[in-house]
Amino acid sequence: MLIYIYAISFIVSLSGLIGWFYAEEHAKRTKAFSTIFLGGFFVYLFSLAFAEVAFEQKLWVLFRDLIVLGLTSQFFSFFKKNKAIFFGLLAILYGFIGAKYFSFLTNSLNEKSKTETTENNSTIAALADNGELLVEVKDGEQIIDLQSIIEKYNLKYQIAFPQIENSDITDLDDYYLINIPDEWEGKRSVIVRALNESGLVDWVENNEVLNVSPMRSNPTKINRPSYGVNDPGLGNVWGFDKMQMSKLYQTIQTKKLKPKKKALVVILDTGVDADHEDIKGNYKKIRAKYGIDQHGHGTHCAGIAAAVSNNKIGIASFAPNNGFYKVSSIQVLSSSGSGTQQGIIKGIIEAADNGGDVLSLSLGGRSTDSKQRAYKKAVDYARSKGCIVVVAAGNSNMNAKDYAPANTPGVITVSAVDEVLNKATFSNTIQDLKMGIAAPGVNVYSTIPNNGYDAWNGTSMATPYVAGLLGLMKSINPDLTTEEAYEVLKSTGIDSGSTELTGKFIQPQKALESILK
Amino acid sequence: MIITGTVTRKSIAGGFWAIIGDDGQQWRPTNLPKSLQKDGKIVTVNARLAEEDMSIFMWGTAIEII
Repeated sequence: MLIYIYAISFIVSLSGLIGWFYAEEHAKRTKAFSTIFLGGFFVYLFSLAFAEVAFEQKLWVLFRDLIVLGLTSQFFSFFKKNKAIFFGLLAILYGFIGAKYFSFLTNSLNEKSKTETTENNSTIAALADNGELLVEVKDGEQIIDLQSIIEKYNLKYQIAFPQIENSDITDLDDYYLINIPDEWEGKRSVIVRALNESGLVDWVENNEVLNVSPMRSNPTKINRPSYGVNDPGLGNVWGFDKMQMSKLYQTIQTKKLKPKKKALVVILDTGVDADHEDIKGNYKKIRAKYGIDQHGHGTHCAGIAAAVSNNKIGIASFAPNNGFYKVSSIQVLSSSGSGTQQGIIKGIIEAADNGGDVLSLSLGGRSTDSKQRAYKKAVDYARSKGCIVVVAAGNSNMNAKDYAPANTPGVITVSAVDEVLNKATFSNTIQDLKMGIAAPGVNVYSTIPNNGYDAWNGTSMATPYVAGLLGLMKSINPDLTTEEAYEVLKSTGIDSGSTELTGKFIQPQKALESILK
Repeated sequence: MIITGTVTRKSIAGGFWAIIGDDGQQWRPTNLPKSLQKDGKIVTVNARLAEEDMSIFMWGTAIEII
């Protein structure tokens, strides 16, 4: 829009100036034409000042336009005595402007993007063969807003999925393919970081094969370089950065770790969609009826704890090669998300009797003395069978000592923190519990039934993060007790914004290193 | 019991409707009618404590509107 205002205002200025010279002997006309010129020139300067091009380019355009204004008006002033020639030339001038010069003017403020588009079109095939970056630009932002990064590294870009017909039902139209020239190839991680830190993109990832099919059904080689696995949804999982999962994966791979046993993490919840594409490969059945989830909560938790990693779909969990632990389900809550203490205690016992190593309970309610006693018996039973029981702190922004089973002696209680590691506003606090720890619990992206994914909030989400990590740890050290495991998590964790209320925030790689010593 | 308060949508554990009582009490109706499911709506309901004692929500006191 601004470039059209620029072009029109320039033509108005030119017309006013020509008229000014033509009518200089008529005071009234002179005033009218000078007003047209000055008004037009003011708008011209304004539009040029705010045009989205480099400052140097603006200076060049201004210099050029002033010369054109001066020379053209002077040229016409030579013929002001001969009306026929004057108006004849004027007609030619406007004809030329309409045919050529108007588009020349608009393009002069758009030359760079035009050049880049042309270049990009000529490099589509090369891009597809190279390891480019796939960038999702945030809603409302433009790729051109990344100009400083694009120019600095001489990047070329193009729309990644131009074939999309219904862009209103997908975000794929926000994707751009970025080609890094050979001379900057060694700075790929720097470029990725710069793009991520620009605040203008939702997601940056490696892209080796371009395909417009939905990512989860597309066997691409999409990688997120900082983690070293190819699960495309990890761009939505902020917790992976804060937990430094790339280091965990690196440790597992460089040390060529093998599990001493395949541990089992049991999700006691609303059931788990065992057929979910990102869970199925890691799922171990206890009873067929538990492999259905009519609410979604249990499936979300299962994905956090044990989504199949490195399978080119969805998200990942704590083992890049999935060989360390499995996940299972025992349904203790109804499709509405509620249940009874009796049902939960039965579930704890059933999980312990079926080989559960880590029991993940993202549930709870207000505590009473009798509840606490009953839960303690169930937890004691599970612990006697070698289980570690992990429980959500609760979501009422209250002291978790008043919530059961969060307050049950012998469990690890998990609080929730947000993206900047501050206590989630809703999270209960663990300052009065013996074993409290913190994990991501705000805007947590994970699996939901029917091959879906969504971001949810709650200490419910933080709990399976800890359970999954403990599953990995138990696979390396099957004899790990609850107290030993907690000491490892605590001693290797980092401070949150309020550690005394949340406990330490888990650091999986350091925890793993600790039990390897 | 009669509860007067403000309906609010909580985005915890997949989301649920709540009533923040005028006295600050946190109520979680298990059967809030659709007509009352509006963020910010002031309501007065007749309710009793729900039989549910454990849930994924871990927020407030579960009630059943009668």
